[in-house]
Amino acid sequence: MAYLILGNSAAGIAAAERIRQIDKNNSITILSDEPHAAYSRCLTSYYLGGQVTEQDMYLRANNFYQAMGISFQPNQKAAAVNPDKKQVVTNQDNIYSYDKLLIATGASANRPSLPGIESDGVFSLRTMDDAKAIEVACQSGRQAVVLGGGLVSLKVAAALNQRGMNVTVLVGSNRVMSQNLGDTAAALVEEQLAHIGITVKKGTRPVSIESDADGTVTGVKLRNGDVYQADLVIVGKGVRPNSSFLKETGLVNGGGEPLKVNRRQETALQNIYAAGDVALTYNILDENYSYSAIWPNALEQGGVAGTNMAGLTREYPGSIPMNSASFGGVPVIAAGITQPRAEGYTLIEEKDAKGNYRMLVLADGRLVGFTLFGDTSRAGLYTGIIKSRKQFPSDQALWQKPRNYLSLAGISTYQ
Amino acid sequence: MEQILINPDRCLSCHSCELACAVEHALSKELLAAVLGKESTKPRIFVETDGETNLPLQCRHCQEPMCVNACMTGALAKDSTTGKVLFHQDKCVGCWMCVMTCPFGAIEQDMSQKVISKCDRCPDREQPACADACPTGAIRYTKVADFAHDQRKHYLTNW
Amino acid sequence: MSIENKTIDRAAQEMLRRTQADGVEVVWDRLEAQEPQCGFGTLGLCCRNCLQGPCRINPFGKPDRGVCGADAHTIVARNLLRSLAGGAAAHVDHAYDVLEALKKIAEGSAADYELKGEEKLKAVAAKIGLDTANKDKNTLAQEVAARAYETFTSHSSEPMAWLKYWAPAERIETWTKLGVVPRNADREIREAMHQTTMGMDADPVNLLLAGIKQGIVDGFAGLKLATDMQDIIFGTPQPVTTQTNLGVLKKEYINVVVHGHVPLLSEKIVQWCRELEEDAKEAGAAGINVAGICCTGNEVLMRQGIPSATNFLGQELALATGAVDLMVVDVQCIMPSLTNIAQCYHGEIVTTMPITKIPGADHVPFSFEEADQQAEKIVRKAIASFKRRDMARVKIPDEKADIIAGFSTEAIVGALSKVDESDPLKPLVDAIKSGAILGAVGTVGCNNVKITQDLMHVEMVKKLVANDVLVVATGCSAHALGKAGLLHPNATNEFAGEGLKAVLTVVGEAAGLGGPLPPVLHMGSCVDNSRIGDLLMALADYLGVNVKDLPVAASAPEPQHEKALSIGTWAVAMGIFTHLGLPPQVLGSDVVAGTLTGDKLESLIGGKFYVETDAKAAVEGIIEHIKAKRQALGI
Repeated sequence: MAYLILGNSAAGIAAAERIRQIDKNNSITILSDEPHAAYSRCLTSYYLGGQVTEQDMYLRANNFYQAMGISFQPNQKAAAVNPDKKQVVTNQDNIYSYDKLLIATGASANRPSLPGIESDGVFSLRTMDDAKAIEVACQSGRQAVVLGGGLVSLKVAAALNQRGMNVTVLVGSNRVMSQNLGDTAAALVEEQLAHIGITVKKGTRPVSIESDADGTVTGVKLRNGDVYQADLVIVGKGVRPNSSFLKETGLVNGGGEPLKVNRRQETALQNIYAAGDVALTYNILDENYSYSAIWPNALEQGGVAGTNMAGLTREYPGSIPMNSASFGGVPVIAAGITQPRAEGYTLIEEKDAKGNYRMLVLADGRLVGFTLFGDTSRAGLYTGIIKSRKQFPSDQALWQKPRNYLSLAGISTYQ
Repeated sequence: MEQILINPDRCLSCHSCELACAVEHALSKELLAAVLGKESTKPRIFVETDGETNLPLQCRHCQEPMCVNACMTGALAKDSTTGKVLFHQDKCVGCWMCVMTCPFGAIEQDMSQKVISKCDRCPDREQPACADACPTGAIRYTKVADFAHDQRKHYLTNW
Repeated sequence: MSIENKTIDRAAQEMLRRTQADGVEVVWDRLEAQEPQCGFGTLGLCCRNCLQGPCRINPFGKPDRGVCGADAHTIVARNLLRSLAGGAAAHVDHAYDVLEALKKIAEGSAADYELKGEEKLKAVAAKIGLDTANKDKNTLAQEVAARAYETFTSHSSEPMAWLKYWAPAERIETWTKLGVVPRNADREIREAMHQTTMGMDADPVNLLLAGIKQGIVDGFAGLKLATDMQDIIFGTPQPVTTQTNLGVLKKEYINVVVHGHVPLLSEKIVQWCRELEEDAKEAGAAGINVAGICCTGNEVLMRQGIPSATNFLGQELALATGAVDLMVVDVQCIMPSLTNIAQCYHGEIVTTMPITKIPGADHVPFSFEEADQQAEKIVRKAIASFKRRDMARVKIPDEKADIIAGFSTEAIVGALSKVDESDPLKPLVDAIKSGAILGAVGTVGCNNVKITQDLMHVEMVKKLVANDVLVVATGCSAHALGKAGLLHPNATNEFAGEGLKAVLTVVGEAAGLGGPLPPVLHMGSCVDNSRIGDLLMALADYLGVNVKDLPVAASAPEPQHEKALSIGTWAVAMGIFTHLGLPPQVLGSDVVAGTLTGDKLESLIGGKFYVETDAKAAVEGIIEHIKAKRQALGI
């Protein structure tokens, strides 16, 4: 029995650890397309902001692979999988056999096809090497333009701001974090961004990236003809699953789409599992699969995949979309359905005198989503009752419950 | 393995556990010294009430801890030998992902230091301070099997 | 906790080994079961004064106010004032009881008693401005009683009667400036209860001033008045030699233990134990042996030479000997657990007071009118109980110490007058001036189970006398020192500094002891702290200074009771530097704790509290204070 894991981040590591917990003897091999031991991608913006060092980013102790009896193969990017031969070929032309294969290759940053996108000084932030490259390129007092108003873009913007750059965020929609937040919460985040000195331009359509004769970026041009001067451009336009190497297997069509899995994280092919940002996630709320590339899901799915690969049976309980961020020290947490677009949802919101904002989305006396800005304490209680699908006598009853375990989750579920 | 186990029926909401917890996590670890020294310290256990039931609640050190899954720095980790969910403050960056996922609401945010705080099961003590301080036995530090045995006995003798 | 950490008293240790082996729960076990004790209570931060509560203040943050809006300082100060009122109430009620007895005796309606302290009666009457000539003692006593009653129930706003008669003018002036002169005891205690109800005083400093008033009430309407009345009824104590510790119990005898605080009962019990000696012998006993515990033990010790069995923390252990046939109690410091211990070993517990009943105890109501009849009934119960005693289970520790006790102020002056008849205080004052005696400290008060029994008392006193500090003691402190041998002349040679030793030897030999006085003078029960007050006032008067200027201090090394707090507050109000070996429950408010121990209070009133839990450090602090006072006096 040989376990092969493609990917050395959250899902891959979680799977390997779980397998080793169950199966002490058989070989585990992890392939990574990067040279580094497992590190936290989520910390790249913190690294850039100077809050953590490279050493802080590593997830496990130095002797992790050795201690766990894992063969770690860096710089081995999977090029193809042969399910019949149970083999994986890498772009180094190395061949790895497997009995159980986990695809945890994650995702890559989207690169929109703008003219000039290949100019020097245009970056995405996804990997540690990305972070180091941006670190070299950023200079205090210079202009940075961030394309995209999503969570990662804003975190990078805040990190560059921290490094003393003048940061402008160009957002296509009418608000920041449009995937996560409604208008009110987004406006509060925008206030915080303004407060720390980040300029946000909304409803903007970049058409090209301008560069000088050396091919070094000079600015971003919008459809309306405005040009935002830039010494550094960050492209933050979402991610794309790293699945194109699976074209031959039929698991994907063109590549770049997420892998379908079942609740045991199995793909359509026998002995091949998938977890993390490369795969779809079972969503508790719509009882269906959707793409939700977040760290906690990757870890949990990796654990489920590892359990099943090692011969036990375990189902992924499902997740909900959720995210947490802080700007200017003020936290915001949003989870579940925060922008209901169908009938049958009730949205209750309140902003208190201290500037805290709370918004709950309810349906049938059940909580299906929430946003907290400012006072985010005990947010997990809400996450918990969204997941448990607990029903309350009325929407108002739920809204008025104090944010404590006893009132929200109740003692019966506790015992 | 001992766990902190709660019998809500016995909790009178005296908040002694909170005070004992705060003291244990003060530098001096001693009530009078902490008060006289004006130390800043906070409890990691909280007595909740819904009007009928009182519940002293702290990190449950879950078998499948959501917070550990959510922790993107490795600051939170499950110790497979002791079963404790360990927190390494120096690795915490205050992303609050654990706060977002803990279904017990048992993780506190220290907004000034930008780190979380939660029950560490009192590593310097034989028995956690809260269980030690509980005057009614609502908080016990015992093995699950023993606790369950007592609960069953209580149920059967009060039939 | 090891037995050695529970008590230094070897008899108590032996009995503790017994209760432990037998699985019998005593006070130390109950402390352990209570630990850790409530932090809010420890800090004084819990308020139960209204039904919107209970509220408690978080010493480390929010909530920082109770429901009504009271903050930590208000709550701590209110709680302290209520405690002080409780302590004052105990002594004032005690004093009221003995005053009532005096009146009834004088009127003839308590015919079982007679007034034995005619000398004291005359002295008191003269001091309070009564004409003593050509009056029989009962008439004079009725007049004294009438005046004394005004202390409790006057309807004027004049200073309280007993205070007006006895307090130095300088003190009355100081207290008047601070607005703390009590009008009458009942009113002040009532007012304190009122002042601390919901929606009343929120000013911690004002509440503390009211607390000082409670101390003054205790000192004059409680301690002083009670001692005076008791001396008039039973006579003023003179030195007696006797013994102390559990070894005073005798296996072949019927052992009757008197426990509590007021001598009205214990004196009668002692009398009837003597009268029923023959009945005891008929019952097979060698006789009847009486021993005392706590302050009523001190009362009969001083006046009747009755040995003392033990102090507060030893009360259960006395029963654990299996040799106590009957323990009769009146009021204060009586553990409700006594009946359990008696059930486990032997003996009857008899309660006597309408406000002190214990489930499982035999209750024999005690009244002045029928004191003999009731005392006889109780002693006969003891004889009956003896017959049921299982001799095989009797285990009396072989621990007892010889003591000299009974140094009333009058007795001390009497002894001194043997050195200089015309000017009795002169030898003492000269010794202080010369530095042979550095100063004086009164060690008083309780045992507290949180402190190794007697340890703090004994350690501190050994160090004090070694530094030529004369020690006077009352209450459970006196018992502790007695058990440790410090109430015996031998201890003067063993522990006293050279200067102190020389003075005690001169006085002792002049008084016919054939050796020195003990280094610690046993001055009586807790209410007899007033004797210390009398002595200090006399010394100050003699020197032409104020009490606050004397090189003296007070110490309650192991305080436990609310009474200890109110006595301590009286001492502070008198201008005395007052040490506590354990902090009271006030540390939740830095304002309250800081005020009580601060220089501001000392500058206003002359005294302050000094909290130190370490014996060595406490003695150093006290000596530093005494030296500062000596320097200020230019001696």
